[in-house]
Amino acid sequence: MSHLNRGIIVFLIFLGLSWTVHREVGKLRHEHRVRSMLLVIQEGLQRYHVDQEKYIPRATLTGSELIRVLLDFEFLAEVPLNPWTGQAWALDNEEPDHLRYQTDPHFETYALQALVPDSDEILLEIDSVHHLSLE
Amino acid sequence: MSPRIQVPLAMLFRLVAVLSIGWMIHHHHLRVIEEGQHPIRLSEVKVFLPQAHDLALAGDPGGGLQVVDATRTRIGYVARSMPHGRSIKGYSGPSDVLMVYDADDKLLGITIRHSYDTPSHVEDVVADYLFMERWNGLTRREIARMGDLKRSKVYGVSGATRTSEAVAQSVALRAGIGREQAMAQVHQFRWQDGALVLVALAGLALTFIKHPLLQRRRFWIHLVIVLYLGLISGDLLAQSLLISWVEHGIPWRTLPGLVILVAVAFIIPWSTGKPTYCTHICPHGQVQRWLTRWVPPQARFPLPRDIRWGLLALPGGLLMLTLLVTFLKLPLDLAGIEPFDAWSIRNAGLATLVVAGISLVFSALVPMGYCRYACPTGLALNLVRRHGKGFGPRDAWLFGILLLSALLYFGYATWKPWIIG
Repeated sequence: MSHLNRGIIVFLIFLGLSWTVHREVGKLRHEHRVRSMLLVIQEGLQRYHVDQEKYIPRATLTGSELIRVLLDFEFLAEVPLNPWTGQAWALDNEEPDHLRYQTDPHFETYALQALVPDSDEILLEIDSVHHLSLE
Repeated sequence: MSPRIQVPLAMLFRLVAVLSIGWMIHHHHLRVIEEGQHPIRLSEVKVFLPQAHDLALAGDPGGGLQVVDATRTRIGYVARSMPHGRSIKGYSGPSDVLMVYDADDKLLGITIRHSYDTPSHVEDVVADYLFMERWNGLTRREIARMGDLKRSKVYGVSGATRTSEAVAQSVALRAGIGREQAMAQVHQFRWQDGALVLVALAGLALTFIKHPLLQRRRFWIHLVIVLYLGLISGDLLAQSLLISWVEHGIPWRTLPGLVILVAVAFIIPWSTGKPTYCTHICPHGQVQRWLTRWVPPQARFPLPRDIRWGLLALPGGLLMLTLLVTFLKLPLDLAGIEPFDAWSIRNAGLATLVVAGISLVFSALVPMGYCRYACPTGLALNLVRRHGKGFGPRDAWLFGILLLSALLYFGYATWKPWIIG
């Protein structure tokens, strides 16, 4: 019985630690997917800017709305992956969408922010003033 | 085998194991930093050096990769401007520029690998051969001096002036990286360093000088150490500190006092078997020791033998977690798995405060409970500790940790795609 008890305790310790590693790997994977998505959309947005000589003139857009505009203007070759679903963006405004686009037309600036679900906390952002790259 | 042979052999094994683990963590960190968001691919280098066969860390202060041919002969050097040049903005963002040098350190050419800048301006810059070949044939030293574009007669590309100027500045910045860092490091010894050296000397004195005159004042010396090291300086040894030093280099120029303290913490148990840091210096250990004396025996909770035995795996497990977080670059703050940051109450995160609170309550019920059953830093110091018989069970743990490090280090190319998913 003694060996069994000891084994259970050691197993529980390593189970807890494995769960921690699993959770953190999940976060890392998600961040990587968000990063890839931001890079694709940022490039499309820059192409829009060159063509239209301004950023999309809407103070705030959701990810779906922004992608629809970029697809309409053909600045995105294909629908990017939605990192919160792991599928191509359905663009129906009903899927998890934690991407926010903002612009200030007076200063010709933009910001793309990926938010932590159900909060206003920014996971990753790229903009034309402070966060020029994702590196 | 007699202890006379086993003891030095075991000491040598521990030294080699710790240095090997440290080297692998350091090298891995440089590798990941060098790769960044967009790792340099061999195919990009082959455009300039067709005989390139492999890329390996250059190991010089400027970072970068050395290019070797099939016979492993160094045939060039390659570096990218990101992340160093991330604040150099063109029209709308920075560009990642690849620089390939030959074996004589002369630039063979540059390419723009990826850009956060306006795509059409980047395309204009790439198409301007006169601009892109402006640095060809120059050495890194010469390029580093070309940060002042006007004086260096580097002219921007018409229609993409800001993008091309940002590229030129990124190239100059990246070429000068190692030199600037070497010049920026200045030796300093502040009063805080002196205080830490005194703490280390006090710990050594309490360990080795058994004179009653000194030992009778032990409580007061410990109290001063707890107040200074714990509450004023907050310089406790922790996994977060040790890993950061191993990754970025030991700050012996800027924090000599703390380096001496850490050296004492490792070298004394390794060479003499006496755990000076754990017994006489660590404020968290000292508070637990006081709790053991002050809490009445009837309030203590005797842990069943099986639980005690099982819990001994926790510090080792936490040490393995530290290695996984370090090698996999997981977004877990290592300060949160130990209570030591809680001593700097104003800067402490919630996780470390919770761990500190639980560890002290646990240690009040189970004498020295945190030190015995949860402290990964204590275990790390214990793993190098000398003991009379030569090899012991702790060496099996050290071997396991060395093995895990080797798997994570050498298997990087295999597990990296799986981790990213």
